[in-house]
Amino acid sequence: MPRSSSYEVVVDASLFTPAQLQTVAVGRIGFQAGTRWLRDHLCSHRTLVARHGVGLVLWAWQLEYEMPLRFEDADEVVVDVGARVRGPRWSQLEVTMTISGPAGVAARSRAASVPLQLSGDPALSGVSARLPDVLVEHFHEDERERSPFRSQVPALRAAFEREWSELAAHTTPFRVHRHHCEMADQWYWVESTGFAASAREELIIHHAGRAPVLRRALAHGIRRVDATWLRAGQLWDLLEVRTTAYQHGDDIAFVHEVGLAEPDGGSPLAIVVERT
Amino acid sequence: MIVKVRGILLRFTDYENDIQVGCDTVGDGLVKLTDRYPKLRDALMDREGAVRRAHFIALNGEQLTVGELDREVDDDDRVDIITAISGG
Repeated sequence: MPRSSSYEVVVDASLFTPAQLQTVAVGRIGFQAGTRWLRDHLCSHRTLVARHGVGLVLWAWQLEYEMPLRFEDADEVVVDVGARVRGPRWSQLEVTMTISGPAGVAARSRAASVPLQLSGDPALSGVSARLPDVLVEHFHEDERERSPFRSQVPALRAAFEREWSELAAHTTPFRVHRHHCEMADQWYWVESTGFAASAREELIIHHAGRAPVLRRALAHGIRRVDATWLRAGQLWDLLEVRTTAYQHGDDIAFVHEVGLAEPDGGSPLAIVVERT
Repeated sequence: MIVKVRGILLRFTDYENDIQVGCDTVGDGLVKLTDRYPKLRDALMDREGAVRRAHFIALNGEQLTVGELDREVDDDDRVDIITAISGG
């Protein structure tokens, strides 16, 4: 039986939209949950960095909303979290989490991180590596999966471009400030999903007059998020989020490319896909 | 040359991100830069003084190998220090 950690979180009004848990709130709870699983069953994140010289960088994340959960529905939620190593060379750590309220599972997330071998310098720089054997040995047999986690983002984008109708496109600038970062002055991945959510709202503000169906994404909320990170945003980076909205029947999707706002900014740092 | 320092290295340069360094080559400039900001040396270079594997040096947008740090530079040349990834 894969090991899990289960605990209660008292909820406050800041975690919610009028309709559901905020995406960034689920991300923060999920990151905290993964950190808790490591401490409970492997070693603390601090120990992972300080003693083993191993860092973790998020590569892909999925979020699905299931049963309704609004602020008025509960005083607390139950978080259940599990983890396993994945890939033929144990090059991924996958953390799965559910947040449950009175009606059942309200949100379900899956995060795939890539281990880094840290250089040992104060900037915490590192290069991609497999998880060291001394750590892999601590995972039970049913917590090891040889098949790698695969991001849904490339297939989703291809399907939108092939089968969906483009509704609107918009570009929103942001700058990475320190409150968006983790301790190494690199963006905290959750904040990039916040940039995407803000860019969606900017697109709706600017384009809903011509395409009123876009407002559905605000009224009913987002039901699914798929994100992948290719490079990290860093302190004071000037970013732009290039958002494209698509429609297919009653469904609306937003594809956000988060990149550096420079002429030679290169490939995107992250791609976030939100669906109603 | 003008050294562009980004994000995670800014705290090692007292948050200066465009730094003018008088030098003849990229490597010479990096030595002068880290002499001026000793904390940056620990972050950027290993004990032998070589640029750590996690960082890349680019001259006017062209990524340099370790063997190309002897490339000559003028005052207007731009050198970027790019950190591939960092993780906590």
